[in-house]
Amino acid sequence: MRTLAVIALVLATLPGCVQLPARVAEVVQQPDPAPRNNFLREPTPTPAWTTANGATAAR
Amino acid sequence: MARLLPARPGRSRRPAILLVALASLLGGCATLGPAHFRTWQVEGTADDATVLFQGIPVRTGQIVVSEQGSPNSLFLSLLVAEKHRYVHTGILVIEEGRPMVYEANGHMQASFGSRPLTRSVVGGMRRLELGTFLTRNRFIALYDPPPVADRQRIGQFARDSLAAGLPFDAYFDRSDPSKVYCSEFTALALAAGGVAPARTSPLTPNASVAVILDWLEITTPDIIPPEALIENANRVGLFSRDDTPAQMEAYFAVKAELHRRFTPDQKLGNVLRFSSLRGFRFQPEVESFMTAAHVAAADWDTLSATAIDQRVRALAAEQLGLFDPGQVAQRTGGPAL
Repeated sequence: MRTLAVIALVLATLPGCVQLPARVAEVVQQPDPAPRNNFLREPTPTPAWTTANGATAAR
Repeated sequence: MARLLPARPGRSRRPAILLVALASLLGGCATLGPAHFRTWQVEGTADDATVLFQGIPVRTGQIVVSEQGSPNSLFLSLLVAEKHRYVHTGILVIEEGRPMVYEANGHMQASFGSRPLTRSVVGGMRRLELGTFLTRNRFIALYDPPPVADRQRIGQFARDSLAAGLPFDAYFDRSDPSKVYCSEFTALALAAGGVAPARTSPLTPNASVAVILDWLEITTPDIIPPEALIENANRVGLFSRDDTPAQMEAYFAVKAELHRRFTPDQKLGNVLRFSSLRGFRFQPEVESFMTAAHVAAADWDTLSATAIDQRVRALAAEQLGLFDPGQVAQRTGGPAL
């Protein structure tokens, strides 16, 4: 009985493992891409003088 | 936990229980008061009907409102179209000289699989010491009910609700008073005391929230916001153990700004993320903004509420990007709320 009570207590305390339905997960877990977003900083534009590998090109 | 352990044979547990009770009693007293709270503003005045509790003039029928500042609190706030400071409320009743808070409280049981979380919410009416309520919540305010209120009837309704074991209503359905959510209970208690019905607030028109409400099987069109219960009421006190008055004001400004930016086309996932094991969490950008406001507000003690709000908005622009209500209107075909 004591073991059962402890198991019940532990189970009642754990938040569990919730599997969100796909439609719910889509709106809760995925942020929108910037810049339409009101909550994310817009990505800093890459300066024209920076090349794809990060090297600085002549202005 | 102690109640699960059997007592040792031939040995009384009474002295230990008494010591624990005494320690918790002393501990509770020792952690209350202006010396232990960064915000401890008492604004009410004592009279023949009040009892002084740690310098607070308390009386039966007063309304407590609170806010945790947690992701769950923000989620509840974003369910409603209007912005509100507080998400929880209860009724104060003086019993044998001690202030007790009666509240409708729900909590999650273990939940597995994809069944709606609302089906795993349990709880109902409960009663706790005001001192416990003050230490368990992050921001707390205490209000007098309107002068017309019959405070004894309010208190009696609270006691009757606890005695009846009213369960918690995770579906916010106020058409069924046999189950109650926090502000529904407080509104019913005030109504029992002759106070006019509380204003309701419609749920948000946000599309992503509609998806979640559909999954949670919440069909109510509106709820009673805790703030509707204290409109035009006189504040008796304002309390926070860890936040200064300016930090408290800054938090409410942060919450208002997040609410303003949570326009109908925004996804809840821009503000909160959901972990299957840990529940709701703030998105990192939102958490950084909140932390920045909290840290900056430590130096805002001399600022007015308006000035704090302006600084929080400036911080939001810096941390989250500029917010242009005009662009939102173009995107959604309507004004930003």
